[in-house]
Amino acid sequence: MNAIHLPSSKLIKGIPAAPGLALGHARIWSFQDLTFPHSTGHDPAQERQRLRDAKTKALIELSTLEKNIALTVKPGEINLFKAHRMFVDDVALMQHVESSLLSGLNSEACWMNAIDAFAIQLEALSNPTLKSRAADIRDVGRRVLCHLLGIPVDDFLLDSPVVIIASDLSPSQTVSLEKGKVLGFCIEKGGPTSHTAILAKALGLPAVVGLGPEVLSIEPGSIVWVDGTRGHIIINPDDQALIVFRDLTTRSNLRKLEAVEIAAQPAVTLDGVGVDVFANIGGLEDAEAALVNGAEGVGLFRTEFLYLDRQQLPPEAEQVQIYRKIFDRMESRPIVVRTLDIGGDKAVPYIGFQEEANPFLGWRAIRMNEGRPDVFQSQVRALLQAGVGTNLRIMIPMVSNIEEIQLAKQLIANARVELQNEGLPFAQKVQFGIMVEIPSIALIADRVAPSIDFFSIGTNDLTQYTLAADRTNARVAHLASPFHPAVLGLIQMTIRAAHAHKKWVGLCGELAGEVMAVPLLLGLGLDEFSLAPSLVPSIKRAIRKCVQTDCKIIAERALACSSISEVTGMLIAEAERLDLF
Amino acid sequence: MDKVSQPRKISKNKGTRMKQVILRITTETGLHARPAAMFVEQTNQYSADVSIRNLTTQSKWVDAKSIMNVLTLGIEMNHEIELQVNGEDEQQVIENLKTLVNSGLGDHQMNR
Repeated sequence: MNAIHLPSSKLIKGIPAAPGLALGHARIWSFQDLTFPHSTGHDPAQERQRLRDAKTKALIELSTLEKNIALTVKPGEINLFKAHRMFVDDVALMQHVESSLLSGLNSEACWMNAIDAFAIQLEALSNPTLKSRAADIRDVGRRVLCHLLGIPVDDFLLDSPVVIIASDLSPSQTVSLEKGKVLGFCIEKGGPTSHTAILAKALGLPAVVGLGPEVLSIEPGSIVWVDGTRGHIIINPDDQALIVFRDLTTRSNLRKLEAVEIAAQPAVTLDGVGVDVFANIGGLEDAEAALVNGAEGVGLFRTEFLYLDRQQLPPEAEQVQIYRKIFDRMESRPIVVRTLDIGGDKAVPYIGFQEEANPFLGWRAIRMNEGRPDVFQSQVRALLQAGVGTNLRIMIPMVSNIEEIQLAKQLIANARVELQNEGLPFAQKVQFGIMVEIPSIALIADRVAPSIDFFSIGTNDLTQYTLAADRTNARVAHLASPFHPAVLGLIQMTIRAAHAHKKWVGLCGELAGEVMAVPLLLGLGLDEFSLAPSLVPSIKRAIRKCVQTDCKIIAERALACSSISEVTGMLIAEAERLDLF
Repeated sequence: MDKVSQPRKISKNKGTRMKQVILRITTETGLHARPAAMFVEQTNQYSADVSIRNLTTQSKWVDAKSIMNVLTLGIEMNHEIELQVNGEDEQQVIENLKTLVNSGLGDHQMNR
């Protein structure tokens, strides 16, 4: 069942972004920026009427859409299209429009200025859910603008299930996606951690990104086979290939079911090496999902949510309460809590961030201990108190040198003395670890290892800091691959240094959730995988299929490669051979 | 964006007494699109003027009949909102909004 090359069909290779298989008709989705006139001296009454007509058309469309999906919406729930209709007629929005209409501006400009004004306000919020509503407002703005300009609305509204072919997808295009109407994604640009990838994973749909401009020339309506696991697509597969597709799908579905059934069982390789499979969580809901999916602990608990949208530091008692709720749920399982990882890109007024040209290279995360040690100390105090009777581990992010480790340890020791003096109960045995995200710390891991209990490799940041490529920038995201041999080298250095000092190493980036990376990471000697709860069963399954001694050879081969594509090509072939997909 | 600490005077219901209430948002995702839509749909059912502010972030007061305004307040889980209702049906408005918010705005069991 290796890659299929058939004369009548065409295979395009890309980057696997979300696992799974799909087969369906291609729908090309192109989205261009609309330009519109901007001039003054218009008759407000006339412009008002034009806008009113455009809005009416938009409202009719939205009602139709709403009716179409009414069946899929739970009773009492307001669907997105209804919210969109409310945007169209919003009082505050229309007040804004009205004042510019009176100045004689044309209706397109009045409308879009008002839309912009509100979208910008929402974009400035720190809560990601609320922030992404800006995209909804822009969607509505665009819909009405299309009617004003008399051009068809380039909707993402689909009547039958299709495979989406696009240059890139913005969040605003994906919000209106209905589950069940999209089978998979084939994206020209982007990298493995782009938001299409994250969205597709969340929806459980396969996605291949970085397919190149060729993908946009697919004839609309062609049959496309999307293989998000292996990272390629096949256009117009022939009969023989279709039979293969059905077999693969049946097999993959069966496997998924099997993997979930035995998710609670430990992950042990065929030659008897047991590794921990933990979950990344950001709150109570994720903790529940982690347990359901058979995670044996938490490898990364993100704590930023406690700090956003407040006017002052969260009170210690509140922190303790929130932590305790989650710790209780995990019972005696290990929980690695990452202390606050935040910087100038987020609006947290009480911490005192300044405007920075490069917030991701700036005063953030553990670096805040110079200047604001109280933030860390209060979090540590809360964690130590909430951690009584649990298997708590504290991990600090964004470490670049040994002084940061010494300072953090000093602050933790201070917190213990304080709690002791205040007569408050606190966790006694708490492991202390650091994130490996900055290449410098991987390069001196042997000297750092004696000061810590564990390392956790954050491959998303380690990749972007090593390769100097912003993974959220669509034009360079393809450069930011954790499969770059340089990144693999840093992972290897870290694990070797840790093991020489009898310390354990975890990995909590997206890489830990990639099936094809399992043999590589096992071969490098990784002790703990930490990933999105939903991926736990399939990673456990892959681990159970591997022989660690063989994996060592695979890891050596990967490290000897000279390019990303050489590494991924080899790993995909190995994953096929080991029957991991 | 003017920083107003008092509710904006909204014309048509002058003279009547005014009702105020502080509510805590328990919806996990805060007042994002769907819960906000539900909330605004309610406020629009009444003739009374309804103003809202995010007490937790000490936001400015805005018209609670505008979904755009409500979204820009950045209301999240555990935030407290303050409502001011002014108009004939104000008591009923307060009661209904209270029930709606306390019931989780139909979003309690939604996944992230």
